[in-house]
Amino acid sequence: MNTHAVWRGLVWKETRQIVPLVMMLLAVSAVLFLIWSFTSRQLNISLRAVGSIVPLIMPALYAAGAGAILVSHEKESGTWNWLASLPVPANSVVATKLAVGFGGLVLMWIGCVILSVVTGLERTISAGGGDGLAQFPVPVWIAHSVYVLFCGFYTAWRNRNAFPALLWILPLAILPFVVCEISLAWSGPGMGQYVDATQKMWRMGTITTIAIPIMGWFAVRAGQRALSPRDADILSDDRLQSGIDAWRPPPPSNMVKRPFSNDVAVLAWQSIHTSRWSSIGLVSMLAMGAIAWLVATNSRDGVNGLSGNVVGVLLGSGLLAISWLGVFAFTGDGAATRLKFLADRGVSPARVWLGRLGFGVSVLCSAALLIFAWQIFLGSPEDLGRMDGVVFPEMSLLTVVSVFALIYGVSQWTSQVVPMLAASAFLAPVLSVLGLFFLISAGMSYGVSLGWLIACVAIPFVSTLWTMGAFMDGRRGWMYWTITVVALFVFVALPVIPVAIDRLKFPSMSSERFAVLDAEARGHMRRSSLQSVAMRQSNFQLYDNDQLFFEDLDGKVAVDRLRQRDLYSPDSWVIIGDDREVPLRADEYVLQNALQVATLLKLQWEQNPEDKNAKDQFRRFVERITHAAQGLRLSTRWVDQECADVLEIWLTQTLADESVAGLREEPFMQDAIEVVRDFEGRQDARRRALLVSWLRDRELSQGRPSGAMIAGVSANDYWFERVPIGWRSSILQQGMGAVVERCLALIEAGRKGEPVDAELRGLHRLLNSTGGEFEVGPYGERNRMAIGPECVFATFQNCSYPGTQWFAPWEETARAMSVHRESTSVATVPRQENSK
Amino acid sequence: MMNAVISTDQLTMRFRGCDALMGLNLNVRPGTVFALLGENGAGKTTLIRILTGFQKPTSGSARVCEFNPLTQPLEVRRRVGYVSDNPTLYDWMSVGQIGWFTASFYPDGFLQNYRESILRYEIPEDRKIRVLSKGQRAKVALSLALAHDPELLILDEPTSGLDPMVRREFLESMIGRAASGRTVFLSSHQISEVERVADTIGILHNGAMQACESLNDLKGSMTELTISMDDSLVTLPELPVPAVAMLEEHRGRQRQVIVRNFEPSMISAIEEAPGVVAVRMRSMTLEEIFIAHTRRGFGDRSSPPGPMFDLADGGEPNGGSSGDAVIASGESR
Repeated sequence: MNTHAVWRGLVWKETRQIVPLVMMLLAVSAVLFLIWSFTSRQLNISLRAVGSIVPLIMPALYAAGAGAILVSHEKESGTWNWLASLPVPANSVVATKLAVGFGGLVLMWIGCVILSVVTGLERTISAGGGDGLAQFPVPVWIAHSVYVLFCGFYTAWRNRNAFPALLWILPLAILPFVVCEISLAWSGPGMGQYVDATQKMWRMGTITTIAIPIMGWFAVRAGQRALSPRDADILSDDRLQSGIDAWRPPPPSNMVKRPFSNDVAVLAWQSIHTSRWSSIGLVSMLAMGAIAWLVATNSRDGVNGLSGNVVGVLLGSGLLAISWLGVFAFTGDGAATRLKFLADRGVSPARVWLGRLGFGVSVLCSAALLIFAWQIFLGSPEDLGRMDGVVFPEMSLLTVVSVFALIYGVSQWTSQVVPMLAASAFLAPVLSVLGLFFLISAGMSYGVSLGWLIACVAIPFVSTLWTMGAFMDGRRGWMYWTITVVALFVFVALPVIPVAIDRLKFPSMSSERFAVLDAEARGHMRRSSLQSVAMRQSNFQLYDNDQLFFEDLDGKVAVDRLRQRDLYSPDSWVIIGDDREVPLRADEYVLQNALQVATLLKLQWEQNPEDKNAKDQFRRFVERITHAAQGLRLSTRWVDQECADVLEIWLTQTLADESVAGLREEPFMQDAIEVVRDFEGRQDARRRALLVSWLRDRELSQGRPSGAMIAGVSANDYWFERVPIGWRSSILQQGMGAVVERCLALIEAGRKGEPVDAELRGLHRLLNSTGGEFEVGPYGERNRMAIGPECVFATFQNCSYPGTQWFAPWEETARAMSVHRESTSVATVPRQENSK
Repeated sequence: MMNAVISTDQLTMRFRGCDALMGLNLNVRPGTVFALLGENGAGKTTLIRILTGFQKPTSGSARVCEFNPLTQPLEVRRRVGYVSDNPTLYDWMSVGQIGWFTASFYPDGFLQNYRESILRYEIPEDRKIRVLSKGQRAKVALSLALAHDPELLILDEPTSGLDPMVRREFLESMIGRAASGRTVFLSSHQISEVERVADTIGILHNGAMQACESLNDLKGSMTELTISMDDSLVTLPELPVPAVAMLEEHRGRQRQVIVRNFEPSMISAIEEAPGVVAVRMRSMTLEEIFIAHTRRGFGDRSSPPGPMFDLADGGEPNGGSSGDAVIASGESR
């Protein structure tokens, strides 16, 4: 026997077995990378972090699956026995499998690195762009994937079937994390203190590096044992029975003739008893995930540190359990080869389908009901303060069930299409998350209604039900694959249909009207100043001018400087410059803070009207807000007009408040009245900003890819910021003219004092056509500001929609206020004259 | 005396709930075709798994080709060709690829022999295993087991799935192998086929070897007597020594008795016994002998012994507590 030939033959065989898994995972990685690269610019930071862990997760998935492919699959298919009958040393078989598995892991890492570089993801990863899982550097992940590879081989050799082997990987894989956290808790900082990230990284790396040879030794030993003669059962005495015997099924003589009245129940019983330990393991994982979800949605103080990691791991394992319950449906006793037993006996495919899915569905329904009942029992977080501590917002029962159904549905579909358990067990979680991401994107980005999304969720179930007959008979011919491909196409196309219809229906501006408005816009552009001033929060500097921010700062100096700040001065909250002729650019965050402090000072003055200091503080804020509103009206940015509206709403509410009636004659209040009463000036400013922003956006978008414009690089950053992102691109690409035209019509109607309801409804249809009722939308009556106890700060949420507050009740109040001032002009004219 | 190719000593295998083998002693000499017969669950596959080094026995020992299969499994497997009752091959490989792959573990010449065998069976080398019929897979498995010309060929239901022509051809090749000094150890239910090729027969029942003799000796040692009595209540007379009654069946006044070590000269002695009207004697086929050995009650120590069915009286190693088997030899064939 030629030793070289032995190695060559074994390496060839193992490589041929592992290559499909590598290719499949690399293909999925490529798809995920492509999706990430197309969408990452539009996503918020937390979703970007999720994208950045994809290249870390895929090699880990491979590492966990390699043992299942190279060992468990051989055991299940029976080729293991034939291989063992050949005169090949056990060490050669074990070493070859480990070496080829390791080679595949290296390939996965190389492939993911190349894909990361191609899509530009490596910058995010190398910059530490991500929380949670991505907090460790890539070398630690590489070490951990090698450790998981050995875990996978160990569990595969120790278990007869792939499913329990895969389940056992989970606790072993998180062991280094647990040891790391425990060691940090033991010797690290106390409660409430930050953990040194570098120290944590080194500790995790060291623990994983130590664990690799240990687990490798276990894996090799398990492999050698698996290829050794099987030990005989150790029986002490024939008559002595173990305690487990009491739990065995009754002897045949005691069995009833027909255990269940319904044959579907028999099939469900079979699903549970196929592998009871696997069932128990999956149900336990799901229960833990449900509990973690309840903790995350109800924790008052937030979950972070060790508890955050535990909650994250349990949530992940819960989702994995849902997916594997789906995989469970058509593997093991649900595999085509075993279902043929039922097919030969004429059992209806629909009943078998129900029986196979019955167990998983009932478990998921129980979990959903548990979550729902718990939420009803505990109630929702009551106040904003409590919301701050909540990791995830609660979801409705329908949403929870839909998410469960999607993950389970895609997974059971995958297990029917990819019959190899070792492959489908890893492909299904990835594909189900991909499907979930796709439908969430459709809902969030395009505003596709929940009804359409639920129809999509049903498609995987319809597909497996439809093809069940062919699957059971073992005849997966062209009809089977045609149905599967068509169902996949429908799954992808269904969410796109309502969006496509709405896009086709989107109106556009006529060429004649375009020419007129374009000329007017260009005229405004020529006359407008292109220079503008950005507002900022304060001039406060903690560090010296010549000091870098990461240099150490003396604690006493820092405290003194912080104490020197005057928190009741507008200079600590909103800086707008002194030039009243230069347009101002809005900052929602700065304005919101300024309005909150101004409201506080107003209350302080109301409590003590004789306090001159309180009055002076309040005066300075009113003056600053008045000047800010004037500056914003000069701007040719649409969003600045929306922010000016919010400031004027606050001024109008303040001026109309009877508690400050004594101050109305003060000059700063008269100036404020002067600003809010200027009805025509406000409409001119709105029209000018609308047209100039429209023109500027068209000019900026020329020669740019549409994505650049969607990302908001134009001068009109805030346009439609809260409109679903996909729909926003539709508006900017083809419907902008219609929006502008409708807004202009709104201004004209409002100027003439005509009802504006039709124009508001028109804008709602344009900007929210795929979802939401008018009454509860941004243009609905409940969101249009009247003078009253409403919270003005909430109106900032609608600033990205044009004209939500135009001609709302506050404008009528402001107008009436100006009439009131004219009627009292006898008293005020002398003051004005005096002031002049 | 040549060394035995297979030898076992007090081999016992106990599983939870059943005893698969009970103190089995067996010697198989080289150059023989040894057929192991037994009903389902008799312990045949367990014995083969121990002989091929897949299973440790509860007690006892075994040697195959002078090697211990538990401690030297590789030495055993290099010298043995083994085909299980349901050979599972890598179905993603082609017929040629699996030969190339398996050749890696055997000396030169394996691949050549394999390809010749495949050619003889008319199976295209480029065809995937997964598209082969059951019979074609069996042929591939046999070709793989034979290509290195093993000293010992162990076959578990070897002809399952083969068509009659190939089956006949294959069985004849087994005789050729034995003639060339190689040994074949086969387990089968196809008794008519076994009868055609086997030198030595072992009958395994309930984990014990009921009989282990050359085919001719086994067939010659068993006789069916039909004794007509004048009264159905009269007991049968004692049989002359060394004849032993193995099984008796009542049919009115007729008794059918299966007798071991019966000689034609004993008929007159029986006819002279009181109550005996007539005695007829008939040679038994192997199938009848097998059924006789494995029929319920036959050799079962737990069943109450009948008046003429005391196995201990026979003094023969036919399934008693020791389970010893007669040494088989191919010379009588």
